[in-house]
Amino acid sequence: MRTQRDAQWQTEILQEFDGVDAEVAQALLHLRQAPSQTLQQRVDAIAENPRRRQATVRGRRRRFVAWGAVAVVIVLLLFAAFPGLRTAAAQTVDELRQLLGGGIHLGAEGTAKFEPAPPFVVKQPGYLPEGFDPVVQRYQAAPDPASGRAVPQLEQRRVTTDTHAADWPTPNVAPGTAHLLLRYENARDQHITIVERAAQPDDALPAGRSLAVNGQPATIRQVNETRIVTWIEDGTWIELTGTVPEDELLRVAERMRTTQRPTSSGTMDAPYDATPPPLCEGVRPLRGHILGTVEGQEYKGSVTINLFDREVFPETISWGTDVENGREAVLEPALRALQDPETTMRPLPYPSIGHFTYSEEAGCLQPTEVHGYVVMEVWEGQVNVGYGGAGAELTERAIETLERRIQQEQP
Amino acid sequence: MLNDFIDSITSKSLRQWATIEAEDFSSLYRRHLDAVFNYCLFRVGDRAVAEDLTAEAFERAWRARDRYRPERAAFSTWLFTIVRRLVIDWYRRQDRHPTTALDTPVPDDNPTPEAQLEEAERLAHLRDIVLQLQEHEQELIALKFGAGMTNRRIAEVIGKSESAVGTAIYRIMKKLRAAWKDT
Repeated sequence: MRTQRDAQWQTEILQEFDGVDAEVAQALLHLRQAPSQTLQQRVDAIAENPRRRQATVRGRRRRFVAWGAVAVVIVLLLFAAFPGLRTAAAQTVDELRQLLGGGIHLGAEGTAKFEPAPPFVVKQPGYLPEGFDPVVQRYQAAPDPASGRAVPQLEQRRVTTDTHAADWPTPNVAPGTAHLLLRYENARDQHITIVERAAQPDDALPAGRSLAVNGQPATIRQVNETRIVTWIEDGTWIELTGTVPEDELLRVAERMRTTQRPTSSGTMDAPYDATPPPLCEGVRPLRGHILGTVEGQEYKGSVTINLFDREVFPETISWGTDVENGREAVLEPALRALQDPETTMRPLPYPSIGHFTYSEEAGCLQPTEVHGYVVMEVWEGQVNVGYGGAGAELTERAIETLERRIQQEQP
Repeated sequence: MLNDFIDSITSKSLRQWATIEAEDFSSLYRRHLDAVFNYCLFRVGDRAVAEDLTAEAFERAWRARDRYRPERAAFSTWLFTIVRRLVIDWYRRQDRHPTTALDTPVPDDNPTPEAQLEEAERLAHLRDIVLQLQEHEQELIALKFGAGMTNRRIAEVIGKSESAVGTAIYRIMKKLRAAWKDT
């Protein structure tokens, strides 16, 4: 039996639909059933027993004390029975201490000093908003200049026990490039992340609002809740990312200071212009129109959205066109095609589109196996849409990504 | 001394445990029982299983009430996090999608037994179509029509934008309409 409240929300739902959809909505509401009296009694019983309630709290305290006492007794007994174990434990503590003080020394205010020094000027924050502490300070060396082989993370230190945070990939840095990553977090899960590498001669700042940081040209852009400031200073390409307000992020940017310069010893003379690793054997870059051509129609451009199963930078979007006003000519038709339930999406056999991961074992680039992707080739009068992986099920994510990109492209 | 130490550590947590007490819980569950049960029903397609999952959801919510932070999310958002996880776990345990039918729904506003039977058959077919939807589609329909949530609340629960939820539901309705009309 429907209550007055039920009737109200059901009416509201039905008002959202019209025509045949309203009929389907009405039928869906008819599928609802009332919970049985037995279920109500079962749920009633959950909180009704006061003894059980008190026992929950008391039980937790008792278990906490009991397990703590058991653990202490076991450790003391083991140390008493095996003197060597105590020595080994002390050695392990010492080794851990040495390890933490090894390749990256923590100085005042959480400043890190890398040894040997990276082959570019290292900048670190002279200011951080209150409550932010360093959680990851990571350095990836460049490929060995003698063999040309990549060196897997020569130095990596975690200042955090959060292994997930420490394992985050470094975005926007080509494989084999020496770079460092500094990450700071506060108790409210906000973060400030800095990626630095040697600037390349052909480096261009990413699209975004132009501004100046320490007198250098810079851009700022926003992806969801994250703001990204990019600039080049003293030959170092710096990307500052944060989930803090823009004025705070810019304050951090303006107060970045040089903490280290490259050494002149040659031990870390990795090439600044390291040749990008080759594609692995059998890997062919995709060229031309992978969804076919449309006779008699002019090609406008393409949009590719790769969707990852990860929390940081979960999507990448790239698009290209030779026509003027690509937003109207390419992005908007692509969005409309994606939003149209009648659009046919053709499955594609590739693991990703234009995305590669460096294989340290093979020393070459393999196509990245992404969670899913959607690719759209826009022609004068139609849009061809393809997908791979779970791309078809992730259409809503792709739509959101494309909508955000269109907003960023607004004049 | 040890007790003082333990108290100092746990007193904060104990205060939090006390935030949802039995009276609050009863009133909260009464408000959400129908939504949770029908969400489960739409998801698993079996009344007995849906009742078990509902009871287990409230049991877990009661046990985990110290972890609920009113300043972070509405109670229903938190509760449905538990319920959705339970349903996913249930599917994993079953390693199957529902194929058995619900009790045949009988609309109460049809004049003749024949018409009632015909309508019941149409509803049964619609229910079968819902149960054959992809998981994320079924999820949205269950939250919308089973739990009776607004698109905004659904967006909070599943962590997507309100417009994305609206678009997705629109697409699913179109799909349902096409499949249902084929009968």
